[in-house]
Amino acid sequence: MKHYLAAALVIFTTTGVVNVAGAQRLKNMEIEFPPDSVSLPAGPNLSVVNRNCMACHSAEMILSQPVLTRAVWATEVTKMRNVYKAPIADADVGPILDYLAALK
Amino acid sequence: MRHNRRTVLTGTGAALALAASGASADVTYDFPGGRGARPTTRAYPQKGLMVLQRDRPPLLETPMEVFDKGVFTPNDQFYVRWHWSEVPAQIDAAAYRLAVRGHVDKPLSLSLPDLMALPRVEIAAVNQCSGNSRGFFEPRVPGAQWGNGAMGNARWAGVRLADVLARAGVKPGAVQVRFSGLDEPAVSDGPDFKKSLGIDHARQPEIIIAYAMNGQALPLLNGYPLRLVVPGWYSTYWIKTLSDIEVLDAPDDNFWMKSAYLIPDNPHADMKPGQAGVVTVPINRMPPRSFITNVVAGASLKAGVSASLRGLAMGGDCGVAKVEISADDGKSWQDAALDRDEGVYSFRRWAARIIMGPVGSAALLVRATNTKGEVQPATSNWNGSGYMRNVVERTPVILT
Repeated sequence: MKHYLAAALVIFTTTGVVNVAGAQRLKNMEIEFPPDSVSLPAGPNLSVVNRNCMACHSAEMILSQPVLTRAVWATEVTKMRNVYKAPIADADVGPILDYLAALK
Repeated sequence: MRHNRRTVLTGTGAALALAASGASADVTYDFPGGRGARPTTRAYPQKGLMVLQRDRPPLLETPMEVFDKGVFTPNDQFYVRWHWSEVPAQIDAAAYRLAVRGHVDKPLSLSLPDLMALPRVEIAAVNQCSGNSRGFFEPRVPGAQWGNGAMGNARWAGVRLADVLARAGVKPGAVQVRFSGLDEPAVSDGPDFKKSLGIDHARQPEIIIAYAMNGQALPLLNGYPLRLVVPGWYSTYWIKTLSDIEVLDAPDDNFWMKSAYLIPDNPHADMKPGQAGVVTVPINRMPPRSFITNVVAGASLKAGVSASLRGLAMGGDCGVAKVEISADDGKSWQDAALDRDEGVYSFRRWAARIIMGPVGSAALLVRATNTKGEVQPATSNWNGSGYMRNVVERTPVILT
């Protein structure tokens, strides 16, 4: 943009903001993500959980949680469906909760 | 353009669930009720050794020993947190544009060189996740189960948001400014991650659009090429891969402002489990915190002699006025010496020598007071989202 005005340099000592000279160039960047490092352990309806849950997040999203009651897990699954729009069929919710509630 | 790995895993337990089994844990956090075992990883691009909280979308925690090495957190060990699985994996620098639109006189589409032609400013500031330390909440709450390492301090460089807004010309009647980046929902009708600041806050000179972090371009996982920096406020507002700035003439009612990242509307974001009728507000400023970084929980120290302690403190949205330590579980306190001041929003290093008690178990405490007179509380707050922990931290030790 050519219309930028040359703004006066101001030093904001009270906030810690200071102007410094110099610029840098930003280049193209491309990164590659590692594969998932862990899969869900065996349990009731594992295939239903894998099919419904693992598209959006890896297994630690479940495995790192504290011990949660079935009711709290139900709140989480409801949030995934209603808020984050995970396409989980009604019939799959019960089997998913069976798996989550059985996690040791 | 985006990271999109929809592999459906079919593991049958051959790869054991690490957090569930505790096998090959490299770090074990002392979370109430357990499940604190985590592996470390070097597998992430532009990242060194990190505590692996979640592979995808990545949640990578800074190992606590990093905080003992200096006041600034190295870019390659700065924590990482993404909400949606569609994390940008590729940036075309020439094609990158930052839109400034909405309730403005002249919408802008700024290239990276456009932005870098503006006056450059620098500020040291702590970036901390709203849910940092969530794993220590009791009773436990769901969410990313962070230890204390979902925070970091960097010297950020970039341009003032106020300068960019001024070039677009904010119209009278603007009330908020909304920010969004390149990350996208996993499903098309999921709520895109967007956060807003009040218009007066957005115009404050300390708020910058950063293109550098500790003198280098940002790692992509920390928001390359542009990240909003909101010193003193929680990281949820520090939008990564910033691509869209929208000036609003009505309060933002998008999900991430109206329904998520809400805290009880009281000084410590505190409530009782199950309490009804709690009035909430969007999370905002950070309170003071402090940490001992050279002694880990469970360490053995010599009884009856003085020990050197050091660590980090932060004031939150203002500077650190005082850091005190206690070797007797808070019965008596002594002042620590504050190291060089890198700016009010920065970490501040501190150091002290303190006499250890008699042989047996003991607890070392550290407590910061900020320049507004706010002191870390002696008891933990609680809320159902696990936000805004700032209790005085307690490091149990064995004196021999």
